[in-house]
Amino acid sequence: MDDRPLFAAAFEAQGDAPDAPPGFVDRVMDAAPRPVARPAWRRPLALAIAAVAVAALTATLRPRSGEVTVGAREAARQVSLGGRAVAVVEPGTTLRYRVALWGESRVELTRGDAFFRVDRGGGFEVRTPHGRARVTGTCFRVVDLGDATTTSEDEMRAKWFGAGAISAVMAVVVYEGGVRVASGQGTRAEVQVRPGERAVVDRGGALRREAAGARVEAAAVRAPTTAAPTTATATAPSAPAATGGDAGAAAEVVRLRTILAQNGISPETGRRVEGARRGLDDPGNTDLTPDEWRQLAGMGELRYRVPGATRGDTLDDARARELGVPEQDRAEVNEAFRAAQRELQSSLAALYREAVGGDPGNLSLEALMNELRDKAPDGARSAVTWQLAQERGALSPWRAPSPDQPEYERAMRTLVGYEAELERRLAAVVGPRIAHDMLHGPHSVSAHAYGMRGSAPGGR
Amino acid sequence: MPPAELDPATLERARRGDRAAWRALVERYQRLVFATAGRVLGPASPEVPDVAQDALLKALGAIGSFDPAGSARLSTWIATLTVRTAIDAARRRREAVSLDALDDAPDATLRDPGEALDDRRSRERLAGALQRLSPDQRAAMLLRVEHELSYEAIAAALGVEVGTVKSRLSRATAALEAALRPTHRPQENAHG
Repeated sequence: MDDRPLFAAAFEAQGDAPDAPPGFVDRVMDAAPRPVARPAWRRPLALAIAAVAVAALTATLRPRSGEVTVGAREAARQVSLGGRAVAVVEPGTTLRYRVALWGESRVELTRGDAFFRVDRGGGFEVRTPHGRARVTGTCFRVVDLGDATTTSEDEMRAKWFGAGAISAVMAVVVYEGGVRVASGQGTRAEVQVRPGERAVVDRGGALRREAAGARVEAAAVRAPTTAAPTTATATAPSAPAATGGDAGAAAEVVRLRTILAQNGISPETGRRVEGARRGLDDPGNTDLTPDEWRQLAGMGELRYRVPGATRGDTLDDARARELGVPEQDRAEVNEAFRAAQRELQSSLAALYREAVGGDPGNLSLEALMNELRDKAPDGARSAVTWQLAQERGALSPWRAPSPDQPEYERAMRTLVGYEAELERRLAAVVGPRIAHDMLHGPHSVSAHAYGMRGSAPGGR
Repeated sequence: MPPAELDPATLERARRGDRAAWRALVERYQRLVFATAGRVLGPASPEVPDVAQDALLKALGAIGSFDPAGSARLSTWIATLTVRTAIDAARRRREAVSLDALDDAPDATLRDPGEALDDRRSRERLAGALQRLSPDQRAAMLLRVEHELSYEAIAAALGVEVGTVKSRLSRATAALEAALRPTHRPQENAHG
């Protein structure tokens, strides 16, 4: 049967597709690179070189993504954003990121306040509900106050803009480099902000650029969120000249550079120092110490990863070489990987049949989990999350999935245990070191990382 | 409906990096790109303008590799780039949230048993069913119906197996048909 008439009817029923807004062509052309004329004979050579470079870099430059929420009563957290940037996320802030060492990177800051140190590379954009800040390598701070007018937001507004600035909702303060700031998410006003300046967006979307006054600097430079020992400060790379022309900006840069060094990230390159450990603050990291797992458990936070969940990621030749997997073991490694994935899919499909009663067909892991989640009673998901976090932190004995558990709990236990099970199987083929590197090292296979916070049953 | 293609001379200048030709290309295909991004992400998605811009920038960056003598029309090539960019955007959004927040399952409550269908309602249901499909499914549908690509060409464009394309389209068809399927009124109503 020809499915096209049905598809056409569906698109037609959806109504008119959106059209380009006025000025869109100019916006694209402004962002388009300036072409460099090359002799025709050089093009094939350049393409060949580019292809080799891309192949070599692909494994290490895969984008990393995650989400960070710092509660209003928590301390600020420093977060490495995929090895390209570091954010100091202040209390009451939520941000999501997807960062590539080269290529487009994006951070969504739904509300709150964060300081960013971004190394040079592809476009790096921070979006808030009220505007966007786009950079290629710099130090800057973004604060979005939200639309509500609660006491705490009024206090923040007064701190940043003065008590009379009742309509300001977003600010971007630049310490190094340059940042292009736009109001709203469309193509409205846009300004280039230089060190020592700030851009302010008002509730109505009006955008202005002005000197970053003493009030802003006083708000920006606060005590380090992680007390930096004197020795660490002394050994941290020296601050550059205060590009913004005041000591506040220089102090903030010193603080960021200290944080970078403490997190094993080179302040010069913005990349992880070889051998440096990814810490608890990297939400995509599940290679944690028992103490770190216990810390997460204390917050009711569950973290797990599903390597290769969507793309069936296995070991190609290039990555096998980087990991040092002997050639004769590659097929067996890939088979172990595929078998684990098949079993995971099969386990969740069986749980789907129990819970939903139908044939899951080709539903993806995420779709299967959605269905199982929907069948779980209200409140049960949060309790399962909390319980699994306790078990992961060894605050409660670990329980394997078993038939006496509800389907959603069994599915979550299966998913949470999947990475360790996969590592065990890989270790049986290539040994524990390579198996660990394959899942956690700089050349690891891709994985989806999930983080969620649960509540103790009965509000304990 | 895809726009009339760029004339060969302007296309060749665009391939050589002529900015005036680039502008002509953007002007010619901006509507297609917006429509394509809107179809994949949903017309009300706030990401459409940025996806459209990213897709056109990618097209300008790669236009030198487009083969005018090849089998693909420029509009199809640009639409394919846009579809991929839109899917990437949709995935970015999904990767950043927890499983608890994900929701791409077809909505079983879409149908409304016992209520007669009329044209307006069936259109609403169809549009609703379309909106509940995944961006991957909508992308495959779009390439099939708007650009008349074969299963093999769609698979190549989306970087997936032919079987995956067939599966996505089949599931899309089933969901859309389910939305349109007439439902029986209760017995007493059926007999007035």
